[in-house]
Amino acid sequence: MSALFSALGAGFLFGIGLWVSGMANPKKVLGFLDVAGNWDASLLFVMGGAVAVTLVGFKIYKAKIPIPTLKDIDAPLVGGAALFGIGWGIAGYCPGPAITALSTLSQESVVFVASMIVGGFAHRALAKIR
Amino acid sequence: MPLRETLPTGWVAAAGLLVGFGTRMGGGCTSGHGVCGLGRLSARSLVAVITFMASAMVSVFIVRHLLGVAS
Repeated sequence: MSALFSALGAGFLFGIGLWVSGMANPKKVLGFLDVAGNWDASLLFVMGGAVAVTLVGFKIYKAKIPIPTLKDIDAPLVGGAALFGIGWGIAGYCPGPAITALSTLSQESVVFVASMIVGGFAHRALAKIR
Repeated sequence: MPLRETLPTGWVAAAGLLVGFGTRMGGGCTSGHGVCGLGRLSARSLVAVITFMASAMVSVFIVRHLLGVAS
């Protein structure tokens, strides 16, 4: 039960952080990724600030956090990251902010999240075939 | 927040498919590899972050400046 409340609190904070920082605004995100245009570097500080918190947090709570065991730097890692980046650059949404943006009830956010879920299942289906 | 109404729906759907597929294939996104992976100094995550940052910047350049899509 307390784990449920922790998840609720963490999700709430995460959602607010994404809005306040501008990460849930695709215009802002694309302005950050558009280095050849009118570059808005401010999201670099959002990423930096978030990593500063996790660096300290993971040190403190190391024993309590399940740590991923995969260590390989392989083709799926690089290929997957590259595909994700292409999609991120087209729409300006990554998964967390996309779900947060559902709260605007915009057609765009609904289409994006629905497609994202289909994309995830497509990968699952392909992985099963192979 | 002002909503964006310029990106054609086909592009939105294609982007969503790529993000969903790529995140599963690469085992993480900006939150997983970026915030959490970098926070625990994972080399795997660093490679992923550099890759998706670079590919996203190239993607924006192509879509916005070469193809002229209003994103």
